[in-house]
Amino acid sequence: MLRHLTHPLVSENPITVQILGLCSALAVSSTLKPAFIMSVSVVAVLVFSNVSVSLLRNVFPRSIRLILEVTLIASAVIVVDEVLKAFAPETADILTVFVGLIVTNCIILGRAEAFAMHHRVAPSLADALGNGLGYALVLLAVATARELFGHGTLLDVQILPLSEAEGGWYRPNQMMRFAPSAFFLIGLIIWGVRSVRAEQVEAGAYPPASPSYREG
Amino acid sequence: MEHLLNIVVRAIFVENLALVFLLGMCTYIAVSKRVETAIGLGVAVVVVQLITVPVNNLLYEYVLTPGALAWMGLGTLDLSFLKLITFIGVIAALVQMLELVIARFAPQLQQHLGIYLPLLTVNCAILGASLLMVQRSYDFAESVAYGLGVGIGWAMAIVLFAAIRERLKYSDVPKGLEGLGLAFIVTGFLAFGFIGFTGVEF
Amino acid sequence: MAHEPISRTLAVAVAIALVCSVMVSTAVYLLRPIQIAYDLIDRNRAIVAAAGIEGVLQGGDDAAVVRAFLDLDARVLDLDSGEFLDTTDAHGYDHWAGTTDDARLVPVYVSRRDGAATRLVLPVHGRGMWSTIYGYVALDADLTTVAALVIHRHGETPGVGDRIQDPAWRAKWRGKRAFGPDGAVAIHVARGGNGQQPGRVDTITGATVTSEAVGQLVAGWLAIYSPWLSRIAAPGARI
Repeated sequence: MLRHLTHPLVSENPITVQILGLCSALAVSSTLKPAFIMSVSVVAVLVFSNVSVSLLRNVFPRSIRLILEVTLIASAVIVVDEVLKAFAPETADILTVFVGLIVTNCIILGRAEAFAMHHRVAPSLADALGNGLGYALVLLAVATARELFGHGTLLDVQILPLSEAEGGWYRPNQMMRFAPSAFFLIGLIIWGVRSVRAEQVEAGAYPPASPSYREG
Repeated sequence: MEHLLNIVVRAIFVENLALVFLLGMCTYIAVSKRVETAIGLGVAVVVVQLITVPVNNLLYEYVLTPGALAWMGLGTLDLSFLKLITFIGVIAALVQMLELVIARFAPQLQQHLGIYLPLLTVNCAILGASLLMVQRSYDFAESVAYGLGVGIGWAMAIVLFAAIRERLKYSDVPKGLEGLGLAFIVTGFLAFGFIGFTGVEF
Repeated sequence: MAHEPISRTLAVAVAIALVCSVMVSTAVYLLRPIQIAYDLIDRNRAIVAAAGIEGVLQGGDDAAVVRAFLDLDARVLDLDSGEFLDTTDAHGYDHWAGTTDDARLVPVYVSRRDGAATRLVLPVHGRGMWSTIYGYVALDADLTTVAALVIHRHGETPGVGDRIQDPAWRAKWRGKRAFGPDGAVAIHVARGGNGQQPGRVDTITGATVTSEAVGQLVAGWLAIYSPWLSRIAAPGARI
């Protein structure tokens, strides 16, 4: 059971290994607060989805299975969206369409189909938490780097005093303020993880013919 | 007319869904290993966007928006919170129909695309385009232009990326970076390039 | 694939649809009042700030903000006729509640001191780079000088586009000419310049598109309000 919780954190991380849930991870990672709220939202929807699909897995008719899953997920997302608009409105403005896009977040439908449909409630819950946390891990790592190096702040608290302000020295890395920097960061994270966990390395499609080329 | 053309051009370059808004990334990274498959998927996306965005616009305008049902005496009803589930329904139905058409007329394409064709239903780019259309309050003509533009933009982005990836296969890359890691970094460069289009308009 | 009786499929579908509907509707029903209340107070805050009490933007007691808001004169303007509507509750009128772009009835607010109008607050909105930006432009009593610009809501990039809410940038709008001597809209946002030109506000470095978008939406709306403004600026006219 613990395996379901811990494996998706690194060995089967939804973003870096399964290539799921990318859209929101990249686009809302500019500062920590929206990233955190997005992570919480995704975990909430994931848990609801996995648990309900698991409970209903023997009741679902085969033919309309997919649309029923999507209905459950969409309903959960609508509820989360409304809650955010009520209790965290400024962040909801920044997250705008991306909260609605949690519906299409591949992780949620992916785990519902691949896992919750074939397992009981307790393991499904663990799987949901594991994948949700794995997603959050990558998202928060990227957001921390981007906010810290792009603005010098973390959660709006100035950590690196900006050179523009009195007595500051840090010149913000403007590249980090733009969304594509998230791609670079995730690429580097993948490189880092694969250097440590060799089993995740992909076999090259066309390895160089002469072995000495690599050493040279 | 110029206004509509402006929308199309902006949607393809300045507001490219894949490289600026970063939508539809899962499929983008997964289906971009071969140029032919990428082109096939790109065409499918253009068709789906061109139909779903205007249809969703009509649905939103005449059923969901506050006051839309006034003719039924329900003028105070605000059903806009239902847009998520309505749009997904429309997209799912359309993708299903598209799947049947492709199975009939281009079976090899269907084989190559595999699961990624039905996965268009939950492709963030397709739902995202409809949600952005609502956020910007486009009318019907603008929705058609927008649907066309975002479809072409996404298709162009994935074909570009597939072309680069095909070449990357022959490169000598550090072990841990091979494949997925490099794909991310290359996409990052592409995306930065597209930021250069900011402010371009007719 | 085993064939299931269609009745069972239908039953499950209906049951799930029902449960989901109840769940969603309950959530919306319970949360809608909170959302509306928040937006209302936030809007009041923006309008009061535009009317001259800038301090409320930093925070401050909700009740005081609402009191200051109710102290302002509020009217609903019909853009087509140029006349005020004889409406029951101009203070509560929210023309941004719907989603159509061409609302022809807009609320305007007047702050007075000793009976004379000191500022006129006009709502403006338009497309930003990523989202729709909503704000208020306040004109001085001469109806040609900008008194203040307040951004109410936006969804622009944090740290980049959201600097349109910076007091430093908004302060640049104070004293600029909204209209030229010929009556045409003079205010605009552009790059370069030394900040001294009477009709021009500098863009924000790094946030050119968003700040220019604000310039365009303000100019656009000033042009829409212009016929009505010229009428009430004529000697003898009263707001």
